[in-house]
Amino acid sequence: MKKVVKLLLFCALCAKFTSVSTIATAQKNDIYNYLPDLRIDSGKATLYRSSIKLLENEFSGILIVKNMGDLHFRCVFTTETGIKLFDYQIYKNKTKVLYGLGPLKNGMVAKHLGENISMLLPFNLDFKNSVLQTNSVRHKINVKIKKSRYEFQSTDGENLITFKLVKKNKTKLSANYILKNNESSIPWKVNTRSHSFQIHGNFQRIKE
Amino acid sequence: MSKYVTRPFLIILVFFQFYKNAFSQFDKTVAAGNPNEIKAIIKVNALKSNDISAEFTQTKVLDIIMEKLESKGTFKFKKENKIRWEYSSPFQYLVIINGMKIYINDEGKKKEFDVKNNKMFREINKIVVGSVQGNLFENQDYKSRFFENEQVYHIIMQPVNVKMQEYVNEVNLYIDKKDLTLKRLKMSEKSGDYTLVDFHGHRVNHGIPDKVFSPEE
Repeated sequence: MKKVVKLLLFCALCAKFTSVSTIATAQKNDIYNYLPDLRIDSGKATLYRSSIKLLENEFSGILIVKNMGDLHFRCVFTTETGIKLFDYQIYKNKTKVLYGLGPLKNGMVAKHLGENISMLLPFNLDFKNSVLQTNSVRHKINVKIKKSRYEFQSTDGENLITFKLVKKNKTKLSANYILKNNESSIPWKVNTRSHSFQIHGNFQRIKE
Repeated sequence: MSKYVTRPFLIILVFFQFYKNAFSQFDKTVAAGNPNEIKAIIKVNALKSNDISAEFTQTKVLDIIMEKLESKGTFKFKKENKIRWEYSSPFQYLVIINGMKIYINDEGKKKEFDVKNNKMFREINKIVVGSVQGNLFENQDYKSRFFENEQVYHIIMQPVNVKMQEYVNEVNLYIDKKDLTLKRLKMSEKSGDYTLVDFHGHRVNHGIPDKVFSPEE
């Protein structure tokens, strides 16, 4: 018995010195200082040079994301050769298919692809009622909202800042926001990844 | 005649002439009197052309944005089924169609597709090859109407198959009457969005080597 107690105490002591647990609980408003700026003015559009891998298929072209107002966003993808692959309307987290070529018309495919694309939309970075915990050693920020856990990691390089947003729910969706310089929080590149349908998205902002 | 009448009249005349020259090539075509004659002329020319190369400007018009998406590049075709679309701006992008294979080089990233296993690519291949050769109207999957003006023959093609209309609602070909080269290709969608490709600097039968249509090139 004594040996067991000693072992337990020893383990607890090791845990205290080796774990990198959260250091402080920050104010919830602080999260907005860390979020990438994805705002698009109403009526305006942002263009991304994109490539999307969906299951075994890959396609590339231009993704146009337009703010239609009232939290509605329209996303149109056209290939370099001028073929329009899809035209989706995203409202909150719901994707409506306005047009889709082949399997891109399928509701389930559109739902999961829409989820990835929605990581380019500002409303997905709304963290009201969140609990924020920071770890300044690893530049890691954890945010808990209901059953989803979001993890932010910011790596402060010379001209590049990466924010990794990992959404730990059923779809296991992650997004990597790459900022080109320290002054602007507008992402230059966004990479998304979802286990559903094995979706990988690469989006490079080309125009506003 | 009074100078107060002559001067405005001259200005209007000059303006009209400028307007007419600027826009007449592809505008205002009228129903052709003899479509069979046009088909025969284009078919004879297609038989004589072994290879074609040209510069192109592609404009994509989408209702979602005011701005038009413009790209430029070079185009090469060789009988029977070899096409090379090489975009140089704003991005480097290469598409090679060689028989039943499509090769894509997207700024270094290479992909390969089999046309026969992919219905969409099969149809696009038919449209592109048929448009370039000017004999798309021989394809029974499309119904065609013939128009013309002083400069061009204008052929409007529409897919017969309703499902095919999802990909392309209408194809417009503008063929130069003097040298029978394809000047403009317009592919329209049901939504109203369309892709316009303008060709210029044509060179016909100047001997394009097969290796140009190889993915290694």
